[in-house]
Amino acid sequence: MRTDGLSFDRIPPLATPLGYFLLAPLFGLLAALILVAQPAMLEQRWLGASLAATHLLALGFGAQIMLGALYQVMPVVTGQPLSQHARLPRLIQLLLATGTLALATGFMTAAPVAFSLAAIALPLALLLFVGCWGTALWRVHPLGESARVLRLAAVGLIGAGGLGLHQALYHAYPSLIGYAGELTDAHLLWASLGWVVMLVMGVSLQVIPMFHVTPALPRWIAQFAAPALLAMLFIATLWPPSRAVALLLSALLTGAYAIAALNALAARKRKRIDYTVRLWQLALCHLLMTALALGASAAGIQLTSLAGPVGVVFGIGFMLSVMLGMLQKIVPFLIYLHLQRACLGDPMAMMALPNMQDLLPTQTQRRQWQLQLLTLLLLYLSYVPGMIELTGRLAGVAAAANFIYLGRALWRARQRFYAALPTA
Amino acid sequence: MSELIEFDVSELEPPEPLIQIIAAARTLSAHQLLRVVHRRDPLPLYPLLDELGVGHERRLHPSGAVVLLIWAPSAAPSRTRIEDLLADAH
Repeated sequence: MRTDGLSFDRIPPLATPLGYFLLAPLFGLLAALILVAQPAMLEQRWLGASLAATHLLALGFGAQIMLGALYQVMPVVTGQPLSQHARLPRLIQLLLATGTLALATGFMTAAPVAFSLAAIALPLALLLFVGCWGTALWRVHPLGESARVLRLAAVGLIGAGGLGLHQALYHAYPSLIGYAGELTDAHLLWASLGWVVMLVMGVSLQVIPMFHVTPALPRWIAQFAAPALLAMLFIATLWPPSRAVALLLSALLTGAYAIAALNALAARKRKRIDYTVRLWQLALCHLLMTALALGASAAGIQLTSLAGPVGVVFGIGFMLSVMLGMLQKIVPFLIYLHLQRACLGDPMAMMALPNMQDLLPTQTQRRQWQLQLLTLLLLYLSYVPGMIELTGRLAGVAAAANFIYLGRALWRARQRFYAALPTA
Repeated sequence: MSELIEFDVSELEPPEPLIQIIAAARTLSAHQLLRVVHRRDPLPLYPLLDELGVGHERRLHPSGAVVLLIWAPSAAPSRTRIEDLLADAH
């Protein structure tokens, strides 16, 4: 088999994903500062501050990282780049950042104009990105398991975005668009399971065996669990009488995936300390907890008072841990790949290349891991009665430190890349 | 018949397989042929090999393993030999 098709001219420059990665911690920092100012948001889902922080974290941090990563992960794992147009990634990032800030401002101030701006910028970003991503996914051949699940994640993203747009339009034009509480729940469901979990599932099928030398994840994840999960989301949304059963099955599928991925990581061949592995394990344990909470809720066990903790379990325990872990591996790997290419014609420069481990040193990774644990510990302590004012604020400070440290580590990795580039 | 250099990078973490293959490909002479067994298809490697100017061909096996052959510029082995060397995933 020939290997034509993928060339470095078609892989975006390192500045494309790094631009997304470097901006993301700023949004995480804003969410953390909101927590410092209003720790009560941890207990009240409908506070403007809660919704603002959630969207700063989900869109400003999470989506920035995921989109940035896909620009480089797609060519590396599927051979298909996202777009040949040099300015498109920047335009999408600008729209995503503007829309996220407008949405957060809307939730904090209830200003309809802010929701209007978000309802323009975010769908545009979504359409442009899904257009590029969908085209690339369509071209992938042969269609591997990972790309198969990524296609489902693209559907999940469209579902989450469409439902979110309806909610933003309600806030912008309440006299024209009626409020539908069940659509808010559906938006949350599609964004968390249809987009975030599905994307992590698809990417993990490739990156866990690739980076950690584990056995391949079971085939049933791509062949059965992922399509069944998406089908359950459709059923839960479009056929309310079956909602509880669909959610229960979604919880089972999500939990089964988490256990399968934990098993694969436990069977890795190299047992030395690796903070990406630890962050994956932390994330998957939190995904399992999320699945248990979802399953219990679907089974009729009243968990209203746990809405806040479950949000923390999923958003910080699962999503943030996965992203921190992936960045610890993906960033040095991509930098190294670009350096290899830059030094290809110069054996002396190749000899002088830094080790991949030096691009994001182990000590930095350990500190990031410790900050993530501290953030989670303080968040959980906030749910001890009477503690929220103190530990909620402290959790906000720890989260802020977590995001600042991440931004600093990524910036330093970027500086090491440019310092190691051979001079022409 | 050209000298066959073989190695297995299946149990190495990225970017070690890439580093080892590039280093070996760079020093290939006209009478040497490199055969590498990998646990996955190393897509980022191929553009680097193209830029080095070496010839290469690979086969994906049902087990997921990939066998990769690399030869120096203008020293392509015969079709029969390529097929023989790609046929086995070990």
